[in-house]
Amino acid sequence: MKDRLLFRKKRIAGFLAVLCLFLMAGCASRQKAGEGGDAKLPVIGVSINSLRSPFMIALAQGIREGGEEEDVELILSDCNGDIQTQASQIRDFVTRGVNGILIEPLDEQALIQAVGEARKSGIPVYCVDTTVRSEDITCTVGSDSVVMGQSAARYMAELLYERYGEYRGRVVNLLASVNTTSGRDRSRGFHQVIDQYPDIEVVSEQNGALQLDTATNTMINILQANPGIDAVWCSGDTNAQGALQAMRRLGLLHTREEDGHIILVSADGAAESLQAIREGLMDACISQNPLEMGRMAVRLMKAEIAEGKEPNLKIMTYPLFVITADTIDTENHVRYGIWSEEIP
Amino acid sequence: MRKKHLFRQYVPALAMLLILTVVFAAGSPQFLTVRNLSNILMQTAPMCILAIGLTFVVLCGHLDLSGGAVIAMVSVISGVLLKANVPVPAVFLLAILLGAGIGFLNGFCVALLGMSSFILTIATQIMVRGGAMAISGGRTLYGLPEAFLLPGMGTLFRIPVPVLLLLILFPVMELVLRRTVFGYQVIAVGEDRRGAQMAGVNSPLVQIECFTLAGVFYALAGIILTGQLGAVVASCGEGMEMTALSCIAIGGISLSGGRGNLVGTFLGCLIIGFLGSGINMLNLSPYYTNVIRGMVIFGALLMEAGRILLQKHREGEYDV
Repeated sequence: MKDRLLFRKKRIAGFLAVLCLFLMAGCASRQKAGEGGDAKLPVIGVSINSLRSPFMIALAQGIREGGEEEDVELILSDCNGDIQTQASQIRDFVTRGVNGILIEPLDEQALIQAVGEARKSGIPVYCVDTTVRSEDITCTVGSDSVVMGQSAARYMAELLYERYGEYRGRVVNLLASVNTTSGRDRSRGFHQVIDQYPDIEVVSEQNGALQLDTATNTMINILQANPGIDAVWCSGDTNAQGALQAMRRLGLLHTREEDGHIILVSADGAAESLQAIREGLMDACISQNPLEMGRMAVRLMKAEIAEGKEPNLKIMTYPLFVITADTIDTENHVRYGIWSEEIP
Repeated sequence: MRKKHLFRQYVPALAMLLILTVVFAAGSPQFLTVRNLSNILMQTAPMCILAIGLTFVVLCGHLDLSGGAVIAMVSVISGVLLKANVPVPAVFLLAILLGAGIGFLNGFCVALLGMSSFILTIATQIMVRGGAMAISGGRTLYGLPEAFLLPGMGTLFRIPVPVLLLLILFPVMELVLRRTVFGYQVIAVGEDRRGAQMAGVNSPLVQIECFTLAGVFYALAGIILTGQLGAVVASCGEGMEMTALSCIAIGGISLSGGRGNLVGTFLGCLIIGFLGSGINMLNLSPYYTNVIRGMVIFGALLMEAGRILLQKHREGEYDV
C-alpha cells in the first residue's frame, strides 16, 4: 500500500519536472527570437584571454575604452587559455543574439566551426591580434607579425655587422607559439630576412610558448647545447624574460657594454622589456600598441553594426614601433603610444 | 629473490632511460656532461618534488590533480606576502601551511565525505588556479627578496639547493614508505581500503595524511619553482601534475594504488627530464615536441604493460 503511494508520488514529481523543462525551453527560445540588444545600444560579445600577460591586459583595456567611446555594450568573457571555453563563449554569444562578436583566438584552426555558426546567424565576427583561418571572419585588426619578424631580423643583422664587421653570427629563434598565426608569422618573417645572410646561422629553433617556465627551461637547454650564441629572437616579452632568467642562471648575462653580451630582440613592448632596454640587457623590442588595436577593433565593428559600413580590408594592420636604447625616450615613441605606461 | 623482484619492476623505465641516453648523447656532445645532468635535475626538481607527494596519494589509492594549481597559489600568495614585507622565514612557513591546508581539504572531502578524488581534485585545481589568477591579476611579480629565491637558485657545498633537496628527499621518503608504520599503512589502504580498516588501520586518517603530505610537497615545489623563475607568475606549474602522473605510471607504480615506490617515480621523472633536455639540445622540431613526448611515454607504458602480462603469466612465482 505504502509502495503504491510512493510510486504515484514519484510519477507526479517526474511529470512536473518534465513539464518545467518544457516551459523553460519555451522561455529560452522566445528570448532568442526577441533579443538583439537594445535598439539604441549595440551589443558586442568579446572573448579574449585577458589575464595572461600585460599585452592582453592592455588589449582588454583598449577594447573596453573603445566600447565606452563608441557607446557600445560589451560582454567581456575571459576564456582563460582554454580553447573549448572560447568556442562555447562564441556559441553563447550566438544564442544571446549579440550584434557582433570580437575574438582574440587562441588557435587559428580550432574555432572555424564556431565562427561559421556565428556567421550563419548573421552575426559579423572580427578578430584582434591574431586571426582564424576562415572566410567567415569579416576583419582582423592586428599587427603584421611577418613584418615584426622581418624587422627583428633586420635589426639583429645590423647589430651583428657592428660586432663582427660582416653579416655573420650564431642566432636562436625562440618561438612564441606553434599553433597561432601570429606565432608562426613572427618566425616566418624572421626567417625571410635572416636566411638571406649565408653566414648568419640559426643554430636552434624551439618553442618558448610565451610562458615563463617553458621559455626559461628551453633557453637553458639551448644555451647549454650551443656555446657561443650571439643573438636571440625572443618573439615576445615573456620569452624574453625567460631568456634573461636563463642567462642569469648560467652566468651568461652581460650588458651591451660588457663582453659576451648576447643580443636580445623582443616583441610587444611590456614594461619589463622597456626596463631591460634601459638597463642595457636587451637591445630592441618591436612594440605593438594593443590599446589602440582594441579601440580600433571596436570602432570598426560599430561602423558595420550601426551604419553597415564594412571595412575595406580583411586585415587592418596596425603599425609597429622598434624600441631601442636610442628611440625609447623620443617624441616618436610617445606619439606611437607607450602602452605599458597606460595600464595599471 | 626479493632483489630480482624489485629489479624487474624497474626494467621498462631503465630500458627507456637507456634508449634516451644513447640517442641524445649521440646527437649532442654536451648531453652527457655533469653540467647538463645537473641542469636536468634542476629543471625537473619542482616536478620531482610534486611527484613525491603525488606518489603517496596514488599509493593510498587516489588521484590528485591539484598539484600545479597549489604551486601557482603558493607562488602568488608568497609574492603578496613578500611585497607586504613579511619576513622570508615566515613566508616559507605560511607557504607550507597553505599547501598542507589545501591538501587537508582534498583529503577530508575524499576520505570523510566520500567524494571521488579524481573529480574533487579537478574542482580544487580549477578553484585554486582561478584564485591565483584573480589575486595576481595576470601580472608577473618581479623583484623578490634574494633570501626567498635561495631554495630555487642557491648552492650549498657547490651543489644547487634543488638538487640537494632531491638527493635528500627521495631516500628519506622512500625509507618512510618502506620502514615506517605509516608507510605500510599507506600501501595497505591502497591495496584494500576496507580490508585495511578491518585489520585496524584508520583508513580515512591515512588518506587524509597522504593528501596533506602531498600538499606540503606541492608547496615546497612552488617555492623552488618561484626561486628558479625569479618571479611570481600565476600560470606556472600548469600541467605539471599530469606530467608527474605520467612519470609515476612509467615508473611502474599502479595508478589504482597499493603497489610501487619512489624509486620508480624517480626513474620516471628522469625520463621526462632527459626528454625535455634532449629535444631542445638536439634541436628537434618544435612542432613535433609533444608528439615525441607522447610517443616516449606511450613506449614506456607499453613496456610496462608487457612486463605485467609476463608477470601474470608466471603467476604464483612472485609476490604481486
